[in-house]
Amino acid sequence: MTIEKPILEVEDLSKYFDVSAPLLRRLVRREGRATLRAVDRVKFSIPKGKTLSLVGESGCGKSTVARLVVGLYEPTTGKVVFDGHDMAAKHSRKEMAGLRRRFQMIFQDPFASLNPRWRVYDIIAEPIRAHGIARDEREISRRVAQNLERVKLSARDGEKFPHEFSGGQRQRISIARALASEPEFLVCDEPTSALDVSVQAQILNLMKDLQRELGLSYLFISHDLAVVYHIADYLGVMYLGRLVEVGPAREIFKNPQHPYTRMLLDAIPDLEMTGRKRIPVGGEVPSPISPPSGCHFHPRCPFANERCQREAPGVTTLSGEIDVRCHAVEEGRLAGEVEKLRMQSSAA
Amino acid sequence: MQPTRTSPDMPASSPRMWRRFYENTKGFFDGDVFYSFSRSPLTILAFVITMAMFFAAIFAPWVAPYDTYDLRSLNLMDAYKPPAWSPGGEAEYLLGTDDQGRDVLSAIIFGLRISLLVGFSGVILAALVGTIMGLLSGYFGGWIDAVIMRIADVQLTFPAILIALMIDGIASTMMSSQARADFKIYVIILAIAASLWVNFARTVRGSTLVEKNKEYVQAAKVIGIHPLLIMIRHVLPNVMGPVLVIATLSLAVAILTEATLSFLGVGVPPTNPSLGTLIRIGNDFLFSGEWWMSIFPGVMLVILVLAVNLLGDWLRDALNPKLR
Repeated sequence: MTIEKPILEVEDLSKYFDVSAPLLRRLVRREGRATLRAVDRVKFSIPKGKTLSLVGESGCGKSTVARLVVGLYEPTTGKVVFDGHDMAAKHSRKEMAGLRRRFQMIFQDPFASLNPRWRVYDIIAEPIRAHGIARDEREISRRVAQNLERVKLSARDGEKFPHEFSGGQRQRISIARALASEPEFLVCDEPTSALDVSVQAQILNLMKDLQRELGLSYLFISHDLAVVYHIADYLGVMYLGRLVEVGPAREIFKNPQHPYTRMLLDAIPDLEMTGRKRIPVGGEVPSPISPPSGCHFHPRCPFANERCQREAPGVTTLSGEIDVRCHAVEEGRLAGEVEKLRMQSSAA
Repeated sequence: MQPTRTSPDMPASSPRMWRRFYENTKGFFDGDVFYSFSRSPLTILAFVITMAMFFAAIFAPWVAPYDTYDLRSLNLMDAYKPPAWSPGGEAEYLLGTDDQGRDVLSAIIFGLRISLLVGFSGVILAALVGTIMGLLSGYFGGWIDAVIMRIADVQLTFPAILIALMIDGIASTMMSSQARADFKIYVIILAIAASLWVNFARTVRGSTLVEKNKEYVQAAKVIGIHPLLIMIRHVLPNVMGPVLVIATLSLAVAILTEATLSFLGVGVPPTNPSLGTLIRIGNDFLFSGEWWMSIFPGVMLVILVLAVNLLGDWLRDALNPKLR
């Protein structure tokens, strides 16, 4: 997947957490240090005005990627390049402030992401004041009102406290706060997963409208493929910290390559495809502290062979700009084996 | 970024500010806390007693029948007078007089002033230091947390009285006796604060650990707010509830500690007596029959501490969302 002039480029990005037991216990039990590879050499880029969605099961590191991108975590290796600026290289607060204004984040839990003691007006005015976008109080209140109306709330709602709103309304306040500093890029960490399905659609449509109006780019983290189908231009599939497949969303939904992607898509209940034979994949996600050797997915993969257990697969670029990390795809044996498996299961 | 402009407060004359002030005031009387207050007669009684004592203490020169600081008004002829209702008592000395002819009621009111002053100052100092320490400790974690909390642990092994005696000992070797008498009250305040700050620090640290991982704090980080501003403007308002409760309960402890220290003779000097000092002075005369000198200040102390404690207990329940 190569993109001309991306707004965000992530290269070789890793985050390891030290999850070792306390020093004394390690000495007594003669254990070594333990590290959790939450994100392991992830590489993707997002074009201006587009949405890249990261999907995966719980604990696959997709939220960690979001936090790395906005700088809440320091990356262990790799770099995050925002519109040509390497974020790790900028260290002075002043330089960061100029960049910080251009990207914002929307969080998962609308009940925790707004300070309960602040009025909505002050919540939305905070980025405006912090970045010095407007200094005069009248200009600030004009901008707050404008942002509230952008998310289909009334300017008078600014005088209320967050607890006076519903989950969907709070999430819209969150979006208004994120938009207040006039960013070009939004990182959305499961923004709809805490909401009712009907409200989810409202928020998603609002986000799509805003994208069109303001030319926003999104990094959209989700575990809900239906939501992703609705919003994503590009799709990245993560498994145990690794990005196993990334490419244009339509292509991947139509023609998934990696066995894990196939499994995820097969798991979507779908009326039209009732009765279709699905690839049976069982098992649990292994512990990320001691992940399986080679390809992390091999214990659950019906197509794994001895090579999959031994070495981690490299990137194979397929037609349609899809990057896949899978030995079976690389060797070209996957399509045949999938067919064989389908035949077997329909015979049985 | 100019910090002065980032304050969420409005300019002083803004109509928004007054509307908010009105709404906040109205909100308080409509709110749960006031409702729970109006439903508890014991709490109202405790509140009225506490307020009456505060009033008497603040306006002591006008409330008290005599100015006990004015040595010219003392007359040794009036010494050892029993309370007004017992034989030999005089109506002008309602609760009797002490060995120097001081009116016991006036002495109690002026003593209340010293007791409350020391108690309040001690608690405010402790709350200030404890809250700052707890915030720093909880928010930054790591070695800052380790150092502050180990100091707190060590602090906790010393009772307040020991700390006060220690500070008093250090002060006495460093200062002349005249300077000691002048500074005595500050030494007591410092000793009380030193023994109470740990409670604040630990509670605030605990709440901060919870709050700092909430997404609104992370949102502020993403916006690029300075960590100190995040602590003051985002975390602090959300950890103040428990601080208020501990402050109220600590006030009772502080008043008692001061009384204990004064009773032991390391507290405020007899020229400027607090309730504890009055009890100690009266204690010398207990066996010679002049019981009123120590009993009345003692009763006053019990009522004050009880009322403050009842208020604190109620506040703890009223602010606990699980008990609503």
